[in-house]
Amino acid sequence: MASTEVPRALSTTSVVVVAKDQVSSDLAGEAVILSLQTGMYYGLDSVAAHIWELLRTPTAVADIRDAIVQQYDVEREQCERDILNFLHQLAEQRLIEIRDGTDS
Amino acid sequence: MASSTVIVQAADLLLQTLRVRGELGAGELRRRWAAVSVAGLAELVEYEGCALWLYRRLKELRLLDAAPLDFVNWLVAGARYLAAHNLRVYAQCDVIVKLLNSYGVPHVLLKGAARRQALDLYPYADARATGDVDVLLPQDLARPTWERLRAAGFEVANDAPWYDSYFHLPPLWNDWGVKVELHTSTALELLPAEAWRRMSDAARVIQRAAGETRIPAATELFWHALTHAVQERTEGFRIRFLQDAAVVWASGEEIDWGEIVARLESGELRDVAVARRWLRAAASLSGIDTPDERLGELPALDLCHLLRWRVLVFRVVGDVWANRPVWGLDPVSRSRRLLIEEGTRSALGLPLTPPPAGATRLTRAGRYLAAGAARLCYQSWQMIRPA
Repeated sequence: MASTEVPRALSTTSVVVVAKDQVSSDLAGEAVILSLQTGMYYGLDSVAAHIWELLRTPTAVADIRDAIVQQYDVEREQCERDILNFLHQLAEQRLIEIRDGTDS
Repeated sequence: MASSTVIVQAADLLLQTLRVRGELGAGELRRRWAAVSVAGLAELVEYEGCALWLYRRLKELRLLDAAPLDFVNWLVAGARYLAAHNLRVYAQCDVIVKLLNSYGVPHVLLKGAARRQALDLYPYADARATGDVDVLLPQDLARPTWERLRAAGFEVANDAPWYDSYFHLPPLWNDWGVKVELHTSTALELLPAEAWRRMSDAARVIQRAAGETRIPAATELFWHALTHAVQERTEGFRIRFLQDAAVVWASGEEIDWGEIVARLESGELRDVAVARRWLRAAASLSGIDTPDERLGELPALDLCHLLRWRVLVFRVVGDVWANRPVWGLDPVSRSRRLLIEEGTRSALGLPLTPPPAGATRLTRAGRYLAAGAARLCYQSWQMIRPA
């Protein structure tokens, strides 16, 4: 079940997807996002924009981590922490929906 | 003389960087961006409305670190602002598409709203500011749909009486602040039924989260870019207008040149000579040296030459009166634009900028005097400019 509430335990088994109430645009590898709920704009650098692209379809956090580790020179554990932190920020701004991994 | 050479490089380099089918490789562009003086270039980019396009080109060519830092910082901020601004328009577009589909009203997106849906075909089609949502409807459905949007909470943004005979209904907006224009045609001279036939025949169907929508085929996108630009007269010779045709041209998508030529010869446009010069400029921007032979010999119009004049105006005037806004209403800003306007009009073989309708004799005389002085400046520069 979709939720815009920030989960207390976002984990690698969670499935995340971009929220409906946003519109975004690619800016030469970066991304610009407009929240339709708040009217706030957000800018993402190239790595974050890559994750954002992955989130256009429901994706498990573990799959995002694996995709980033494969593409960038980063340790798996560090990458996982950074991604979870980033996803928490997106969730706080209601830019993504988080689903329990067992639902997917 | 050294400074004149630098000015030429800035205008030329802008064009060389924007061209999708550019003749220069990234290495040569890097060398030139590292050497260029950017005095007046930020103002030129703002005047031309090409900050978003230039930023994307520099980023994708990995040249952002080659250009002067202050200029790049200005460009990045401007491009992000424009990209964010466009998102508001795209969000409004989704709202309109959803509503039109709920009403069962067939429609075709126009201009910026259409360009955004066609990025897979026309790279950089969305790389400029979009101000509102333009959508074409069958004439008999336009007014009832306009009324339904009013009932749905949209308010009239501008109810000038001349909209009664215009090719779109009075613009609407809601608390989102982005105007929506329901078109019955795409130009004053074009009958609504013909406009609908052109735009809807061979239109491309797009599936969005908001539902199904359509955008015009390449030939119609190209033709609309031309007709929209020439309506704007000399303003249409800014890069942001030329870009709309140049990206379609450069994409290699099939354009029905026979149809374009037939329309040019049909009397549909008021000033075919200006339109043909505009096509020459758009070809130059797209990097196409030899336009389709069916267009015949397009009259000469050196876009690079126009840009050199414009950057010189921004640079010289900026040296004396710094930090004047490009689109400001103060005398310096207006004088700068008049110098540019007269340069463009001279290149197009047009007479001096006419004074506004209803101006007093004294105002008319003053306006003609100012335009004449501006024209004289341009023509003097032509005589002394470096080759």
